[in-house]
Amino acid sequence: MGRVSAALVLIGLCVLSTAPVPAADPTTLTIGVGAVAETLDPHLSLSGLSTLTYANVFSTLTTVDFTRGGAELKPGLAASWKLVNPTTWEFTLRRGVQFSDGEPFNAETVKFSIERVMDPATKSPVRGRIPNVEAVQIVDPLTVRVVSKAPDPILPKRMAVVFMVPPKYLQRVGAKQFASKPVGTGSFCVDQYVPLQEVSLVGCGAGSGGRRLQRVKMVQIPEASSRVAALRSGGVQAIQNVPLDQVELLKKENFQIRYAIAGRTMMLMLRAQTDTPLKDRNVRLALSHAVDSGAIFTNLVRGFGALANGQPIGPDGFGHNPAIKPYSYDPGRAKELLAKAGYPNGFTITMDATNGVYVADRDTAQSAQAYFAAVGVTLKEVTVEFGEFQRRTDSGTHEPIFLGSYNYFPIMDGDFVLQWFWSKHPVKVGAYPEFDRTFEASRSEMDPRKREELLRQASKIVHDEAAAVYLFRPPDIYAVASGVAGFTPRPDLLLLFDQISVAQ
Amino acid sequence: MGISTLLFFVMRLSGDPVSLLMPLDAPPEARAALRRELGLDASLAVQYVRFVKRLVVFDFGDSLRLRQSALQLVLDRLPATLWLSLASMGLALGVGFGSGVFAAVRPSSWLGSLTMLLSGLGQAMPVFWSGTLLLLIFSVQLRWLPAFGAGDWRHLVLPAVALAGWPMARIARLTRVAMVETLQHDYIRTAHAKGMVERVVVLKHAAANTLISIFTVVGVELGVMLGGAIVTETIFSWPGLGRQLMEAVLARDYPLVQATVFVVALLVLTINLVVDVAYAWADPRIRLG
Repeated sequence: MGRVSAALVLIGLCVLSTAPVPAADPTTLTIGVGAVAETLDPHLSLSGLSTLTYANVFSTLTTVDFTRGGAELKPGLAASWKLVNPTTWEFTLRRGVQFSDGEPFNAETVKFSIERVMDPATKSPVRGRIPNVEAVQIVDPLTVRVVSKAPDPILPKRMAVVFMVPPKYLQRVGAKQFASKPVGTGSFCVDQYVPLQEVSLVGCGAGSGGRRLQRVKMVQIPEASSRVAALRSGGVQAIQNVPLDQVELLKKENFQIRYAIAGRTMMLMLRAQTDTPLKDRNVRLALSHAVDSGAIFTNLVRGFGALANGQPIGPDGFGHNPAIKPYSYDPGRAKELLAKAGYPNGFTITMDATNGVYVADRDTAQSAQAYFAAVGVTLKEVTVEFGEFQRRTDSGTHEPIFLGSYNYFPIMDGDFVLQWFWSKHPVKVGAYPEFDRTFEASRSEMDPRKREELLRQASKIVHDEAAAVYLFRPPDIYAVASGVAGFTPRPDLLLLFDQISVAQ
Repeated sequence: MGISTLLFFVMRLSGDPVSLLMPLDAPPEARAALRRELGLDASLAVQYVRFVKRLVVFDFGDSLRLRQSALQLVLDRLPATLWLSLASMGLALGVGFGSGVFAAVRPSSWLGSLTMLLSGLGQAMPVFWSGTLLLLIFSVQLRWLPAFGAGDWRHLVLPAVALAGWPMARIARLTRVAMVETLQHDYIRTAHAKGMVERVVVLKHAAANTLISIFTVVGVELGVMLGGAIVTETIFSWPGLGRQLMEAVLARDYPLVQATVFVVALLVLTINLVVDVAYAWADPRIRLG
């Protein structure tokens, strides 16, 4: 009897010690994420974490391709597109595409999907990304025209964020059911979805030629140190958003660190529109020379990502100006410029920043304080919660200086990030008439070459005016178990699961 | 109702949910449109009347972020929270009460002192620290227990232990004090005088009476746990109400916050009622004429 129970205890211990650690399964990948998709209806959320799921389940007319280094617009469900007249783009669709339930993809699908986003009843945040669209016209089953209210040169790029949804399936099951069990044209299908907990995808559909993974599970582990523990315990094979101070430890334990340089720039925004010393270009220049962004990048972001090169758009963004050189770190020059502007003894100014929203936001705000203090400028810092920060952005009530991270992803176009300096933007930052003219011209310039030239000029102006202190482009960083290959995060924060494989 | 009204206004004071739903690069007209569609453009008074009308039929509306029935989301999370609360309360009561009794009966033994020392530590140790420690030891190093999520009993162990720490320590200390007091009562002396066995005196007479006075603490602590063990649920990625509530507050998801608080308030009221009734049942002295 004693021996039997001892054996039982032993077996129990073995089960206990081995069970939670899954055996290396080459067909399954489990990823620990900060949050899983809020809803699986791709028209109801724009958060990066939701889009991670959508991009693998659904497809778009056009796609942004990063495989050759830069960002290129490539055909997606549309094989080609052309401008018919300044306000009309015509898309020719791919033949023979089907949703995973067999429903055919055609012009009807495109019209339905775009109109669904535009329909007020859908309450879609995606509409903010296609603000100009007026109508969608079907020419024939494989040709569709998108008409905009005003000429929109980036409309084909905007189509890279509107996911195509199946009209018949949606009408049959209803929007609620669709939001938890959708079907798409992507290479993965939704197997299981538990909000705030787990999304489980299985390989499916026709677009699965190169796919090696059969199942991808995303599990929600909100706390960063818990994600690291989950990875080290073997419970997941990859984690998102690795705390930068854990990177060395994870490398030592043979995990791979995989990251993309996100298509966004961390900047100290200088509100020239406020009645403060910031109105003076010399003052803005002085502040640009006062901050050692290289040291911030090396010490606070630990060299992951990239140093901003004196402008808001990185080399992978449309409108990046390669001729721009960043301002040197030169406190002496900063002091001279301040004296020239009439502030030999500096001044006091306020800044608002977030804590824990953007990579190294808190630390960056504190070093900015120290750098400014060294040239005599007292920076009072107010930390605000993200919702409040956004409210200030919408209502143009930020402090004269604010620290934010502004994106040109998902479509990798400079328009998205340059608009912050437009004097008519509600955030009320820039006051540069020449910039306004150039930027406004770019918004109706249909010739891509000329448009790129205009955006480059606009970048040059915000550099010359020192409209912000350009700091760095943060990483989108993952730690991945050693046997996983093809795990390639992208600058638009997406990850394509059909590229990934797991070694046995 | 009072709680709901207060919450309605406090949440709306806190800011605008639309700016958190829309991308930063969205034009202001698009934001205004979404605000209108979500019914957030109406005056506070109008919004409040709508809210009360729906509250009567327990309709809290759809979550702004997850776009599902807020009440359903809360009910989906409730079992996880109940399991965790009950498991850790069971643990806290069992261990806490046991060690409290022991420490009272054998105050000078080393084990008794150790128990009290541990309970002091238990009260002093914040959950985010003890929880992370548990994760490192049992998930990362020993690999005995999973580090995240919910599923079978193995997922429950670590969060339950972490969450039990504080109430366990509190119950242990209270039990010891109450027990020491009880042991001085006349009826205990009488029992001893009757020549009853020490163990029977301690367990049947003294401990049973002490247990009654611990009831109220259990009720209060259980209420706190149900309200959301936010830190514990976050560290162990436990899909409970607390974590959902915190995320809802940060996203200004009014309907979800209101539904959560409503359900939790109802539960806490129920527990208080049950504790009061149980107390009256166990201790005839406090029954009202």
